[in-house]
Amino acid sequence: MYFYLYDSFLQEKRYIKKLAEIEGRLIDLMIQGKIIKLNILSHIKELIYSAVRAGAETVVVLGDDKTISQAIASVVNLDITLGIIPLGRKNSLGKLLGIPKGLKACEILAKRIKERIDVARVNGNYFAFCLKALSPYIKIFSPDNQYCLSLLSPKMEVSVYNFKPSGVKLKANQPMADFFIPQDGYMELVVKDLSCPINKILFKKKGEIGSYTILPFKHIRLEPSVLKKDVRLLLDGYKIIKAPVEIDVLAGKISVIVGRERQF
Amino acid sequence: MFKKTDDKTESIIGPSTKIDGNFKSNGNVIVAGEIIGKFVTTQALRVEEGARISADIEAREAVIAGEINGNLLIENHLDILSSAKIQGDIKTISISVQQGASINGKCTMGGSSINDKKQE
Repeated sequence: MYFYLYDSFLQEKRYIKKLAEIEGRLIDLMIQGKIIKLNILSHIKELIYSAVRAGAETVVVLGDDKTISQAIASVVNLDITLGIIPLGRKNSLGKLLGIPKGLKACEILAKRIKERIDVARVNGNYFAFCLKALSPYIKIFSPDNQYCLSLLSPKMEVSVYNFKPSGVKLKANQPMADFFIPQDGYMELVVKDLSCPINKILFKKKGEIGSYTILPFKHIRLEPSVLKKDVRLLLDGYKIIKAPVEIDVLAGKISVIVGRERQF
Repeated sequence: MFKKTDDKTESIIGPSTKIDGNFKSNGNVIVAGEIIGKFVTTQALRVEEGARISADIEAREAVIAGEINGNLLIENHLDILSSAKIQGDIKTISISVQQGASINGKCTMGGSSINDKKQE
């Protein structure tokens, strides 16, 4: 059974026609289902859990990146498949999963190509796409404290990615692995050197190997490098938590409907 | 391109980053930053020009263009480029050294020396 979860901003007038077209197409494709609308008072996790209790096997989220990320974090321990119909202004996550914006996403949903992807658990929260440190005063520890990675310049940016971020390009002639595969049980810690002059030029277009530190991991710990410095981390662009944190990668934890154009 | 498998991950240590401690990897590693401690990989190591390693190194094969202060134990071939500066002993099967490279240490070559060192 399909459940469709509408983001609260879709109640705006300009989405009425779009939603009507989508609902019509879903009926044509015989994948229509119950519609639940998010509002300021409702929490996405509670709505998804109540949909599962009502027999939902597939939950489809209609909304932007923020809503999609929240939905992914909510279905981690549930035996359901997540689908998305990207709508709204910020929609980069749909692209990663190969799902076009709006009406065209209905065809992808109907084809039901399912893939399991990794998610990461960080201090009781979950993310599937990206964690970004909002301060460079950070140290990274490997499992069992085998080694510590520290930054030699404050003009650096520390992130964790599951999917390949835009701007990072590896040279074809380097004997390197395929990084950023969201199904391999690893996520990649990426340190960008923002002070490196080559980066300043290339960031406008594409980055280069050697300007980055890229370390695949299953488990790491991030701590502030300076006592009393507040290091905040942004999960999937919507939730802020404070370091120190432990990050564990959970392999193939969620099932999502993807398109042929997916970037993995 | 090598595929990443469950026991073989690749790593890049970029410039302006420093690793302190015992770095172990089962994949190819490129170092352009600093490492202090001990470095072991079962695959290939590439030390870029400008990189600085103060550690004993073990790798299957290596290309060195940066500075190393420590002993090298390389199971197959060691390629030392012109910009390399090595302060330490080298044990390897085969070696090539470009003009301009600086090596201060004892160099031992051949299969038996590698096995002896590994048993130690």
